[in-house]
Amino acid sequence: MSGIDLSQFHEVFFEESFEGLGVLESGLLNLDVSAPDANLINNMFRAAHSIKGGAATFGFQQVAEFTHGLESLLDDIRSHACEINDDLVQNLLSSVDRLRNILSAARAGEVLDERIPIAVSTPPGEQATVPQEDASGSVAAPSSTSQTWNIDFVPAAHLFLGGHDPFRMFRELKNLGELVVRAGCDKLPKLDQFNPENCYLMWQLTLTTDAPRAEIEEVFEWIDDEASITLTPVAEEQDVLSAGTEADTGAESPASEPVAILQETPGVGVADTDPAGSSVITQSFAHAEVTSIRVNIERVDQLVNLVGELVITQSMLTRCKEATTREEMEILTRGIERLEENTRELQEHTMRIRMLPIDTVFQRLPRLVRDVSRNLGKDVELIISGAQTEVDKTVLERITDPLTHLIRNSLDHGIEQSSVREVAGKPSRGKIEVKAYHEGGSIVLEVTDDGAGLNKRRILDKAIASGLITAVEELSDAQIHNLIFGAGFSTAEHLSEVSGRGVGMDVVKNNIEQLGGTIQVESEEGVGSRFIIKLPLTLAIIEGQLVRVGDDIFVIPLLNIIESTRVSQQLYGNIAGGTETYRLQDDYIRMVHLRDLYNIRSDYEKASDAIMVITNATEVFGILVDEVLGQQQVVVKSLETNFKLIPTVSGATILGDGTVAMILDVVNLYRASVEVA
Amino acid sequence: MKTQDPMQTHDQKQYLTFKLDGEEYGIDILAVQEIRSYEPATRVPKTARHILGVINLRGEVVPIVDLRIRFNIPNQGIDKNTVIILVKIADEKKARTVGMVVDAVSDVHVIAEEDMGTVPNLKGAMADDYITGIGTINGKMIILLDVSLVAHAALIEDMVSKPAAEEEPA
Repeated sequence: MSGIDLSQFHEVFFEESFEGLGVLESGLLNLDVSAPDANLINNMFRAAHSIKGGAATFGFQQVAEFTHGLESLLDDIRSHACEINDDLVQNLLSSVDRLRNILSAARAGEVLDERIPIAVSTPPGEQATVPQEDASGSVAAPSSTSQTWNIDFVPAAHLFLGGHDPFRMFRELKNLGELVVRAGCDKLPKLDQFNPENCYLMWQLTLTTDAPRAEIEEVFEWIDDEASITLTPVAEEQDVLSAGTEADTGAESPASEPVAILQETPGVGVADTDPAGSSVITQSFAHAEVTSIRVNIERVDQLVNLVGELVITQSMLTRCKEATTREEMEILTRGIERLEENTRELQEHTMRIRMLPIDTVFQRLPRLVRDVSRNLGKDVELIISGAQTEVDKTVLERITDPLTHLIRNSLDHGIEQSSVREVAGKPSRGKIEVKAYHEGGSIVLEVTDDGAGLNKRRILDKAIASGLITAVEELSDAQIHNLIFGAGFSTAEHLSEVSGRGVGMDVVKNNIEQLGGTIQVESEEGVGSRFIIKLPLTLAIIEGQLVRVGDDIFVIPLLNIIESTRVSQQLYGNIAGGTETYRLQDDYIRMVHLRDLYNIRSDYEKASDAIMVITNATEVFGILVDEVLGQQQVVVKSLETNFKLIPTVSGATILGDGTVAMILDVVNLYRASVEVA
Repeated sequence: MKTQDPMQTHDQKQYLTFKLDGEEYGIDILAVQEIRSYEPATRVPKTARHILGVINLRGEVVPIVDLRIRFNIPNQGIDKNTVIILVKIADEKKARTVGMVVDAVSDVHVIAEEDMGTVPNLKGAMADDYITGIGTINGKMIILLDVSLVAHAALIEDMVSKPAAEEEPA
């Protein structure tokens, strides 16, 4: 064992553990309390078991200890030693959250404040969640007074082949209490029959501990099949697993308790005022930077194949490097064609490595809906479709928060209380539908609810009150609906715990725009609302429009472009103070000179000599350039390693001729132009 | 016991020297990744004047600093000797490559600790913050620069920071 750096496996451990947590969580959510599915419980147990095993191996003591409690309880459920009910499930869910936090902390190289897990896991009557978590020792449960155990440990000969080391187990036992070890050498063979890979020893252990039986058994858990272990108490057996009774006590405690305690605990710092618990997840996740990715072996094989083809093409091209004859020229042309094809395929497949099903985000939604709707006392059904839709990992990571927020918003403001719904003639159970699908080069996410819809009157009143618009403005329905994305806009009459804390739709919109996407809302009063998010499939490659100003070439993301036009003198206006406007159909839009903003030279002198690229960011506006060049896919290279944030540039790319061009961040370009003026 | 041979001691380092406005400057040769002939860079908007922009180094976007502008050297012509020295600097966990435009590269020198003269008070000199020492080779002064400071500071300081920059993360 020694000599191997275990830390290299940490990342894998964490990833598997978080996956395990996902299994636990979805298992708990799918668990039918009245008729628990044994398979499901087994799955959950296994997930917990793996996390614990891994944590112990890698020395994440806190994780191991906590998971141990979780696992014991699941084991009791599995063996019907304790009964499942709603509250128990709720407790288990809170434990999963807790564990997630501990894991995140461990990943970041921290140990959560020792005090916290204890406070969380053993609130009054709460031992059920984590029976042995009284690590402080001072509050030992009455059932676990000291007890002496005789353990007969007779390993099978092939024990070592499984990589098991009895001494490690003895050490672990020693941590539990006083341990006396006696080795039995009865089975030792003669030297000429001795196989150094076999285990011939057996042991008799006497352990005095206040740990419950399960914890002792735990130590031997890994070698269940490879040894015979007999555990007999020396005194009377008074303690055998009080988990059943403990679970009952747990059941009596109000469901919201563990979460409530989470909030009060200082130092957790993630659960602020949000009872939905899930914010704990999203927020703590935001800090954990994901550095590795698990890829289906098939995809890697495809890549290897493609590289193989590329090599063949390359050798083909090398052969006709000095093509002179007509045939050779033909081969050369064919080779170049193949090269093009190879490159495109290679690009596609490489990109696909970064693609993950959006399922990883959707998985968390049932929990969110469950918690929030419970909290609000609403009855809501969640329908998810398109969970297998694939999207770039970076997009995936950054869409979680906005999506969560949208759903929370729909739950809070959209779906009405059952009584209200019945009066309106709707089914008493509300419905939220989350859908993902591909459309062109984008991924579309839809959040639809059959709630009250947006109240136009209220939005207008509110917008006028907060100065977003003036009372005289005539607005179309769509324009009114879009007002909800304004900064600081919230129509919630009372600030509920779920939403309405001022950070509202504008943050959602901002987040999505930063990903290069758009958000729209469709709504009908009394029928429901639908939010449609459109995002680029990947952030690594974008469709770009190349434009030129003087000697500089810039890339404008195609997603932002509406059209390009020659500036017509008749439609051009210049408002005093130097703000230039342009009439686009019935609207006047602002004109932005890249030349002035970046202090570079342009070929055009007057705006009327320029070409205008009309873009849609926060607002529709025109960017003036000398020339519109081609459209092409560009690979985005980050500038952030070398430059502090450059507000108006989202990155750089390398063009076909090897030079570098800046990719414009249209949203911020517009902002900057307004500020300069 | 140290030997007298300077090549054997540990108190000496190899420096790549280059010319800036007639003076010779030296940087730790271990930081140098490669030397390229001068090529025009793509300008990056809203950056300080001495940042010429970025170039494409085998698929990597690398910023280029003109040390002559940075040090306020008036003669900034470009001739066939003008080169870009690409240095690799590691700050915290990330390794970054930064290019520096200089008048010409000259030589590689071994400078021993005992060849280092004392640095006078250079308050006011543009390069003040970056000088780690002054060495003498064949009676010629060589100004030794801390390359990571040059590359790093050159990029971060003097950035035109617009209010929008602060608003951005919101």
